[in-house]
Amino acid sequence: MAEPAAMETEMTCREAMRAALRESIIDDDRVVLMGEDVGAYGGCFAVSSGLFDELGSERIIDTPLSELGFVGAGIGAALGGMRPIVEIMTGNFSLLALDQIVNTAATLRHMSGGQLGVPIVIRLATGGGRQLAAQHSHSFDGWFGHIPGIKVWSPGVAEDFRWMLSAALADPDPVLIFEHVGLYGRSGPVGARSDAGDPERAVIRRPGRDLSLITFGGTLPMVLDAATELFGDGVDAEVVDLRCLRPLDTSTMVESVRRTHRAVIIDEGWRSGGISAEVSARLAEHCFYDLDAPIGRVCSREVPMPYPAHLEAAALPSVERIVEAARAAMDATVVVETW
Amino acid sequence: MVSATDFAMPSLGADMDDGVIVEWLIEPGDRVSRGQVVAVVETDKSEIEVEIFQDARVEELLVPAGVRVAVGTPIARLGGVVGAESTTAASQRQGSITSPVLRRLADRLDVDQAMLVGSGAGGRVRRDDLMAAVATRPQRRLTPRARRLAAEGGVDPSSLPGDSVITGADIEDVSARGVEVRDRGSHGPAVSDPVAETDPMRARIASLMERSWAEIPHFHISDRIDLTEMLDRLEVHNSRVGPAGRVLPAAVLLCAVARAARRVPAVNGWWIDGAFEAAAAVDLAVVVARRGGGIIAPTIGSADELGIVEMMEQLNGVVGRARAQRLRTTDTAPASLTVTNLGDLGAETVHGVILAPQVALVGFGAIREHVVAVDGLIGVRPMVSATITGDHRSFDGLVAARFLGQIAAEIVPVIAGLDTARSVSDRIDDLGGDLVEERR
Repeated sequence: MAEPAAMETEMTCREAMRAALRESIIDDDRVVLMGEDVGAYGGCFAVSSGLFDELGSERIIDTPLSELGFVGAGIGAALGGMRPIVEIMTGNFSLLALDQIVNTAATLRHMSGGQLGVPIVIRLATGGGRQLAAQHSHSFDGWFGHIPGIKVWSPGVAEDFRWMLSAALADPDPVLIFEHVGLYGRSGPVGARSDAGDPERAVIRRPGRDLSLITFGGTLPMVLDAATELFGDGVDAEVVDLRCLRPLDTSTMVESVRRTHRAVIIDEGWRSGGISAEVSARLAEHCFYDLDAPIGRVCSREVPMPYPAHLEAAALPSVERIVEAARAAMDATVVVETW
Repeated sequence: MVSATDFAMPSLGADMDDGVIVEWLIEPGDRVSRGQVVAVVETDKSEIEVEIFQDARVEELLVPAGVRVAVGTPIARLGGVVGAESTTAASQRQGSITSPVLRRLADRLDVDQAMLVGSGAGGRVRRDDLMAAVATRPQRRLTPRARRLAAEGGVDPSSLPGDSVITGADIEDVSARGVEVRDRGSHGPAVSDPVAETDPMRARIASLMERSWAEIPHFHISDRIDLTEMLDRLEVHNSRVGPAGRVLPAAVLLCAVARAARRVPAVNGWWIDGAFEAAAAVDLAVVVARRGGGIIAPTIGSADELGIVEMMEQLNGVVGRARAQRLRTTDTAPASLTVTNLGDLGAETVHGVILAPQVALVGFGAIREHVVAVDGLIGVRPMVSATITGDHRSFDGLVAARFLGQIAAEIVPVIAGLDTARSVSDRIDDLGGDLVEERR
């Protein structure tokens, strides 16, 4: 049995997830990791590198290139008493498995009158910024946040990469963990599991008085950078890390905005009908009379993700755009993005 | 030649012990005439324009602006009546706005006086001109939070300088200043700050209500009054006159109450030293809710002698002055009976608290349509719920019921004069039409 980290250590998000996978598989005979190239190749993003040699082909299972098939197999394994961790190489490919996720995993507990649960964990790499173009770079985190019956978690720091997996395996229902590819190489402190807290609660990553910057996952580091830049200009921004898109932790974001009276939401997904729209609506519902500015949003431009580096950078949220939106909020105005 | 006399701080209400001279509108050497507004005085209630009651020449101002003095303290020395002179220095320095009320209102509303166009005689700025300027200027934008805080704190956001979006922090600043001004006491020009006045008013309402509730054994009787005929006739009248000539149901109800009180004098007066003292005239106090919170009850004197058109004018006047917190001396005269009308607030019935030492209060709820029996059939009629709240020491249910019945009976006669005048002119019009027909 692997020992949990006793003291706070520094590790990358990739190392943190690898440690979590290894620990889970060693600790529980029912846990397996399955997906495309997770075994011999070590994972497309090298997350499971080394685990195949250590743990063997019965616990680290390479699957055919068929998302619908191997997600369905994972659901069957979960129904049969296993605790499968299914890796989908990128969130973009999850669309091939939508039927299994949305029509089967999310519904069986309800349709069986509570007799059947699907304790599956699906890990998905998500997001852009690596010049992988329009079929490998989109963020569908918010889409899945729309669906009752599943849970959608989004780690933004190494600590959450380290501890969300075991919490997901302990959940009796399907949990999707969206891991932003831009975070794998970033490092951060990782403490004991108890420090990470409930994965379904939003966390204030930086307290501030003047406005709330609300985000999750891959955009968290740039939002923290933007907060630092704003602080230099005399604007004290609070950064709220949602961590979980379903169920959405309404009270933490609402309490933050009730203190600051201004909000800007940062989401790498598209703006129209995205999770940023849901967050904005909840703020309007719960703290309209506490607002001192229109609610601002910084999202990806409404285009298929471009391949050229400069166009991709222009399409994604950036520190510059976040700072601009925050300044507009301080002036009680809003930057309305038109594309 | 008349010898010099002193002009003393007047009592602007039974409960006024002292007042602050906010502004002098006269200077030594000015000639003043009876009825002229000579100073603005601040009491716990509001700012009041003080009128002078003799023709005289101002010799000396004994108390500077900003100082609080007790009622009866000499504040100016007046000399004998002198011959006609030019207008007062005060009005000369006011430019096109000659009324001190409007000048201060313009300041409060942040209206640039140089931009005002006067439509009165000699280009004088009238109240309507000022309000038109306010209505046409770009509207200030408030954030939702600022709007909420302004409503909670009784802050008038239109008084804030600048033209940017007003945020919650701006309103909090104003509120903080208000507290600061109050702490400084009565000095300085900021006494007109609306927030600074809110709390003294609340305190005054509190002590009045506490006293009334503790002393007076209240009883209530109420009934619905059918307003169909009155409203029908009013609609006809209002459709024939311009907006300025329109008569509101509230004015009709006031007239009816005043005339009914003349017929039932037991409700009109005061309970003093264990006995009822009837009032010689029906001086009606009208409860006005202020937008920033609190109520104020200016008096309409000899209300039973007013025609409906005069009553409407009086009502417009006192409501406007009460909301602007600028009552006149006459508005603060003691009243013999009070009327509270919840009409705008939409509640059905009000059971009010009598303003001691008065002995009765008449309350009207919202005018609503009700299903009622009419001549053995079911009808839908606009009705108002009227409540007489009485001091049971002074009179009993029978008197209250008679008073209530009398109010109902007076309603249509109140507007009869209005209708007759109109119908005569209508008939002339009709005759004119007939004559034209005949000529053809």
